[in-house]
Amino acid sequence: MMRGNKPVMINVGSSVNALSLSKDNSKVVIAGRALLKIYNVDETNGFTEHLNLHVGRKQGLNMSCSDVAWSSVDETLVATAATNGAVVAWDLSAPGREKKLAILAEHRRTVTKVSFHNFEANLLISGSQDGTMKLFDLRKRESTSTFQSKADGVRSVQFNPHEYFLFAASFDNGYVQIWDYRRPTGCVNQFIAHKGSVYTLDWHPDADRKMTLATGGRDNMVKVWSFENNKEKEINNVPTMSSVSSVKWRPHHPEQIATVSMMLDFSVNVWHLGRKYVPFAHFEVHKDSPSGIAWKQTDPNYIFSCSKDGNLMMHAMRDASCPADQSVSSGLAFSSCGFIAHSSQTSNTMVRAQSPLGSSSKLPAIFGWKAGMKDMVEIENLPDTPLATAPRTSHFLNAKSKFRIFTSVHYETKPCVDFDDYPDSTSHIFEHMTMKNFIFAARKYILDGASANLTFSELCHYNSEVALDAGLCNVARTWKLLGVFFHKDILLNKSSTKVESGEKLKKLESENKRHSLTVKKDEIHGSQIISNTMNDIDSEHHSDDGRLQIEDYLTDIARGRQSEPDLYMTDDDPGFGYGGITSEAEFLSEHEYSYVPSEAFQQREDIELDAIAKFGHIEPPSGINVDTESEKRILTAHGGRWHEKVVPKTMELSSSPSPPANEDDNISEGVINVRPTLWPAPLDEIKEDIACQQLEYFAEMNDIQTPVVMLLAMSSYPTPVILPIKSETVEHWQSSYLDLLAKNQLWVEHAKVVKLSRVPAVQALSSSSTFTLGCQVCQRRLPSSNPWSCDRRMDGEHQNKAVSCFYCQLPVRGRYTYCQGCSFGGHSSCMAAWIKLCQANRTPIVCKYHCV
Amino acid sequence: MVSVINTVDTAHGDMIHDAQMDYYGLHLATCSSDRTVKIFEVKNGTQRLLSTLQGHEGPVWQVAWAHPKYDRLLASCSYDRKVFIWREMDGQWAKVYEYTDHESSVNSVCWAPHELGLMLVCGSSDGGISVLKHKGDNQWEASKINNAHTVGCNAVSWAPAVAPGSLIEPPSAMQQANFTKKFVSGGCDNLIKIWCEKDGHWEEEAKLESHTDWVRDVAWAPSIGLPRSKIASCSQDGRVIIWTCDETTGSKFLPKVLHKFDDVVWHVSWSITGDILAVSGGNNKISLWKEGVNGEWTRISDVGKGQTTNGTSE
Repeated sequence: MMRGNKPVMINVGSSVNALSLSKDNSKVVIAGRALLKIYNVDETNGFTEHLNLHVGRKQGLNMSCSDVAWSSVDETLVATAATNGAVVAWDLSAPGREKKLAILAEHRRTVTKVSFHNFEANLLISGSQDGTMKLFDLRKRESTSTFQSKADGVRSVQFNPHEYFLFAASFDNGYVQIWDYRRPTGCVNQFIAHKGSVYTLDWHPDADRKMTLATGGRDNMVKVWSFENNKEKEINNVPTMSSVSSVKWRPHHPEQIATVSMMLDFSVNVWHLGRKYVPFAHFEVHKDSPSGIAWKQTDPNYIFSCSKDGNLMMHAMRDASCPADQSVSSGLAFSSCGFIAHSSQTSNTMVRAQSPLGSSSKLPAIFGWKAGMKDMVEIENLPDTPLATAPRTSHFLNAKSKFRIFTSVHYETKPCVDFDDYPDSTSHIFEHMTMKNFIFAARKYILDGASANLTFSELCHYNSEVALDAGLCNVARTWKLLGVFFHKDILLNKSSTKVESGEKLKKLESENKRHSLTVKKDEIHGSQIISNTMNDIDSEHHSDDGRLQIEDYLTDIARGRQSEPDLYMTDDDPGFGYGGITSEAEFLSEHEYSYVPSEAFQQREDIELDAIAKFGHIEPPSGINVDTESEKRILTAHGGRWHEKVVPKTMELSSSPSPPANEDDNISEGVINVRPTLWPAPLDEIKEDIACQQLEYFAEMNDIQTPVVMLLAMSSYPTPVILPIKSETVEHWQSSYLDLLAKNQLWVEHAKVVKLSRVPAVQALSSSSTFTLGCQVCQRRLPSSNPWSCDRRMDGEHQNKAVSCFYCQLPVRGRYTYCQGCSFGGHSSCMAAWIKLCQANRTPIVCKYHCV
Repeated sequence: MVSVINTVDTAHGDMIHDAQMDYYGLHLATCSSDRTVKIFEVKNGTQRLLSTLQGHEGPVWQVAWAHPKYDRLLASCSYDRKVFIWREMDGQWAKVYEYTDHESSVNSVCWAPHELGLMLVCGSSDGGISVLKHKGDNQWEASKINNAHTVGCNAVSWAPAVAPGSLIEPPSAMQQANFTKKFVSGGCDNLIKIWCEKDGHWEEEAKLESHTDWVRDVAWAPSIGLPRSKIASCSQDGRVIIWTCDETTGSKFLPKVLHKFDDVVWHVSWSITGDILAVSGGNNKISLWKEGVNGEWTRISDVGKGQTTNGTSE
């Protein structure tokens, strides 16, 4: 995630171990195993080589530099630390090649660090793996004092820039010691600073924080210490991502500190102590571990770094990537319960004023619970975030998140009611979001009418009431409509169907007989053809059984006003014949569609628009009220006033089968009279389409519950009606619905749907029976050879812990009865006893998730 | 009407980057720059801190809950280049797996639909996307798409696993093959890419170009009702785009700009029924959008501050 310009850089060709800046920051010295060079630094020209101190091939081990330091007092003085224990001082002002001022070979092992005194040009301190620090006076060209740490190898040593006599040293064993160099006998203070080696330390450059020390170690931490009366106190820390090999305070920015890591992480990070988890600035350009960093003291907008990959770089702070800027400052989640959880960045200056930068508790995130839309609106009044105008640092520091959870409907309030002052659509959406209605309806719907011993129309009526209670008016209407459509097709049991159909057959026969009295034989044949053609249209009813049902239905609907074949025949010209009848039927249906749907759909005018559009324009029939009350009456009365009105006419027609009148009369008469009598026929053809469209409409509106439940209800009877909806679609609907049920933990409803489903994939859910048993103690899979006990059962702990019955606490061999939700169970007999016991005591059955 | 019931401090020490509700909406996981993930129980208007998961060494960017059929599993990804998988056992959360194969910050994690098995996709700043597949016994197999997005991948989201034609095949292991294994990713190259598994390899199926700045979040809508794919994406450029694809468009995703906000948009999130989209952007705004029958999107609510909207007017 790097954005911005490339840093000023040069590759010196070999691994760089350390770097140091000259007093005026115009030059940089870098040191490596066979490298000691001085470069001029210029932002426009980059790095240019000024001096190579490593000349000649045989330089010896004295020249294998592990560290380098440039005096901040004397421009000409540079010191290097060698891996063989020597400290070499260089005088850059010396002419020619003889720039070595002194070789101070006093340490017995690698010198890890050299540091000049901040005021005394000739004072130099070194730390070595041999566990000692030595103070050198370059005028004497030997050490004046040796400090025995009595600890471990020295990792870092540095003079305090403000306290003349003090220096700090850090060690491999995690200790940090503070010394007064006038007292070489013992340190002033020592403490354990880190777990593992303390690789680096840096005194704070500001005079007002002169006793502040930053340390970094193997434990990935940067710690900031202050000293009062020689007693250390950890005042801050920055948990970085990998071991810290170097820390450097940023001049003039008392809260900022740069770090590099020893391994894994090749980036240079600048941290702000006010927000310690995210780097304030981040440079990711090195290809290997950076080995040294230094701030440009004269302009701390630049930082130098060198790396094991041989790169020397000068980074500008403006080019840094800022992970905090790039991070996502808000969280958002839609819960299945209809809540929205949202966290967002806030910048409340009040909070910040109360909390001096620092510890974690000072940056609170607020977790609020909101109920009701009114509250959601109120939140708009929060003070504006001054993010855009605030300078970068304060923006960075204002990292607080406000956490809220929104919901629209409070648990106790009834849906639909409290939202009167909001637009209907909005309240609907919030009901929808909370899924309260969904859950209510899912719980209350009866899906299996046959086992509940309800007829289909009773079932539809009941479910319609449920939908009404849930506030789903459209769904309620559709239920009633389904009841009207299919109550003749969907019967409670097959035997009664047979009896009824038997009766109806007789009736049909008698009617046919009557026909034969009045009309010719081929016309009876014609009536059969009508039903046949209807069968053809209706793809679902190919069986004889289905055909019978249709005929039953037709006769049944026409009951009391004679059958429509009668009408056809009587009205038709005897010589019309087969083709004439069908064309007549077509003509009639075409003609009728503009009327029929308007009647059939009247009660759902607001949602059925697209379905109606297919059938032509709507003409709201006169004399029928649109309000819900009258709709109900019409619907529940099945047939309604409209039928009653027209039936007498039909009766008239059929009971007095007048001989064919002249053609003109017939047409005009036909239009008026035939309409009501004929409407069941086209309805019969289209009712399944309508139902399908209606269900698909619900599905499209993301109400998956309605179509699934309706389909299940229709197919749950012994004489099911299967709507011509693609089985893939049904499967998809059902699995979506099951998922929603599961999300709302409606296990019982879930099981019911699985049981009633006719989709193999869904049915398979109930027979998914491969379970692996695990030992309760070690979580390991039980061996198949001995599936009731762990193979480490000899250990006491694992004994009898495998699959034990919750009731009798004995291992279960053989059948294990359990709850699918929480796998709570045991012996079948025990479970039965337990459930009996619970029912007897009227106590709820104890199961982890209350699944049963 | 009830006002604020409760106010609780999440006690996160720094910014919260993500919050996720579990499958049942009863548990909430939040993650923060303070390197922790916190698990809350959310019930009847109260919430209770259950656990604080520590272990990441950098800001934790995102968390994801696995389907409960795989127990309570949580994945988290962090600036420290790692992806952790946590598991709850008897109320105790423990890290069960650590994935360290990314070279830069891991920005996004998402569990595959449960039908596909236990599978996790991770998108990283190194430009790569990893798919971790559980092989049993806590063994995870990783397959990596290198250079999925140049400069970095910011978000990943799985397509729902619809199983067309599973009727034809008897429900068996064969059925696995019928599930679509697809996910969408968005990155710093301003692109949205759709990836599909073919013969065990992940192939780029489509590249959706429209955003003019980093894509911040992508969300594939749950498929309920119609076999139609919907993807919401949001970007640094302030735009939220809905991409739809169905038979009529010939399996091509067509963009529709939902709205252009003034500020960066961080997150998009679908309701479980896939008909309401929540959008959260800069300056603490959340807005809710609903698709009408005519395919038009209406802003139904605006939460947080910001300009007031014209509400539900059509």
